[in-house]
Amino acid sequence: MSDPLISLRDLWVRYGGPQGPAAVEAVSFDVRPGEILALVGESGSGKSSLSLAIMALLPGQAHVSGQILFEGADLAALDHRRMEDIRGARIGMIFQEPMTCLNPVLSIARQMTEGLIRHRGLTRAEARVRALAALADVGIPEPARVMGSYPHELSGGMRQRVMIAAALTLDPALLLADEPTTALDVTVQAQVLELLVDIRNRTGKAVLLITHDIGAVAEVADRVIVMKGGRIVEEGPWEQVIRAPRDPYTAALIGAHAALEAALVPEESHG
Amino acid sequence: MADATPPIVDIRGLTKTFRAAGRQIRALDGVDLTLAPVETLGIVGESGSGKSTIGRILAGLETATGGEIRLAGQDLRGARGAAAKVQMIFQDPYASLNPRMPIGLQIHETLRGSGHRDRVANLARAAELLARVGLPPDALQRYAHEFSGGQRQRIAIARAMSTDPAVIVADEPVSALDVSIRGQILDLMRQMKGHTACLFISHDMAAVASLCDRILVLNRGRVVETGPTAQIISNPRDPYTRALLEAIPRIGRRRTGTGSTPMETLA
Repeated sequence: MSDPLISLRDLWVRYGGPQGPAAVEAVSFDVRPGEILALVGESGSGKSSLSLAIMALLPGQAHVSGQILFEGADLAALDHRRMEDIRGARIGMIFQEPMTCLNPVLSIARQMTEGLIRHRGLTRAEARVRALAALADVGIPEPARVMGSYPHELSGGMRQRVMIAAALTLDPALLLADEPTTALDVTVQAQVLELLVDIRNRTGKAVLLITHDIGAVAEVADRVIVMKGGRIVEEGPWEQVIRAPRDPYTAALIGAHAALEAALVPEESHG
Repeated sequence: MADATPPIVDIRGLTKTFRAAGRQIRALDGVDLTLAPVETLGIVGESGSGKSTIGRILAGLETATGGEIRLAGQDLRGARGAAAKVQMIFQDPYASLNPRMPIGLQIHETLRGSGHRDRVANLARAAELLARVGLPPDALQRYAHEFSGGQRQRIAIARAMSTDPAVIVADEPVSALDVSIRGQILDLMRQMKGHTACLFISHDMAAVASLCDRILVLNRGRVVETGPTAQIISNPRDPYTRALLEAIPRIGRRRTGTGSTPMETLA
C-alpha cells in the first residue's frame, strides 16, 4: 500500500475557544494517491468544518487541534503565508457554488492564468496556452470563447467545469471537492461526477469528495467515510460500506436513498 | 383517471415572457396542464424549465403573459379571490415563516386572510393541524428558529392545509432537506393526498415518482412529456425525460469516467 498523501490525526475543531462546542471530534484518516475518498454526512455532521480545516479557511473563532500532515508539513500548524503556497497549488479546491470562487468582474482568461503566472512564473502567453488546454481537458467545447467570457455569461454547469479546470492548471496532488454537485441540475451533476472519475483515471490525482449525497458516493468512491455529529461512525472500501454497512446510521442513510430510488424502478409491464 | 370529473385546474396555452438585459425570455411557451381534484401532479424539470413559474402564476404571485387558467371552473385572470383557494409550500420554510411570530399566530393570520376571523377557533384549528403533521402541542407558542428544517417544513404543510385549499402548490418542498428527513416529509405529503389537489414541483425525479399520480416533464418552457407515473418511469418517450431519469445517482451503479461529455455550451 502506498504512503498516504494526506493524513489527519486526531483532528478537533471547536468554535469559540479550546473548550467550546466541537464540530469535529477526534477524526483521523488518510487519503492515498489516486483514490477517490468520499466523506459523507448530513447537515451537522462536521464535514464542512473538516473541509475548511484542511484548507485553513475556518473563521477566526474556530480552534483546531491535531495534525493535518501533507507533503512533509502539518497544515494545522502552518502560518498563513506558507498555507497560501499550498492552497490552490498543491491542494486544488472545488466548491459547491462556483460563483463564490470566480470573480464576477474578471474574465475567465484572467482568472485561469493568474495562478500560473504567480505560482509557476509563466508568461501571460504560456499561461494562456496552459489554461486553454485545461478547459479542453474538462470537456469545454469552445475553450477560446469561454476564455473571453465572464462568469455570469456561463451556465452553472459550465462554471463548475471552469472551476475544476482552474483547480487543475496548477497540477495539485489532491483535489478537495466540497459538495461539487449540490447546486447543479441533475443532468449536470452526473456529468461532473463522471468528470471527477475521468480526471482521477487520467491524472492519478487523489480526490477527497465531501458530500451529503450517498447515491453519488456509491457511484464514484473507492473508499467511504461516514460522519455524524462530528465523529466518524464508519469507514471502509465502498463495496463494504455501501453493500454491507455495519453502522446503523450508515444503513439508515443508504436505506433512505434506496427507498426514494425504489420509486424509479419500473414495474413489470402488463402488456 | 376518471374523465367525468371536471379538473380543479385547467391550464391552456400558458405563456410567460420576462424581459432581461433587453432580451425577451420565454419562460413558458404554451403549457397545457390539467389537475383532477385530489390528484397529485408532479412537474419535473431543471433550472430554467419554467416549472416554478407555473406554480407562482397559479398561486397569484405572478401574472401570465398569455393563455387561460381555470380554477374550479372559474377564470383566474383578474380574479384575485380565486388565488385564496391555492396555498404554497416553498423549498426554504425558514424564509417563508415569520421569525418574530409564534407558529400558532401565523396559522391564525393565514386563516384570517381567507376570512376566518375567530382567533380562538383558528388557534384550535392550528393545534389540530400541528398535531396532524406530527409536532408537539407546544409548537403553537414556539418560534420558527426553535424547529429543525424538517419540522419547519411540517409547519409549512400545516399552514398550507389550514384554509382547506383546493390546490396546494409545493415548490421543491424537500430539496433542502437531508435525505433521511426527505423521506419523512414525503410520507407526510402522501398522508395528505386525498384531501386536496397538489402540484408538486421538483427537479428530483425520484421524489416526484415516489409521490405523484401523474408526471409532467418540462424543458425550456415546454411540456415534453406527460403521463401516469408508472408510464413515465418504465417507458419514457422523450430523450430529455430519459436523461433526467438516467442522471439520478443509484446505489449499485458505478461511474466509469467516460460519460462526462457536456450537453451544453454557453448559456
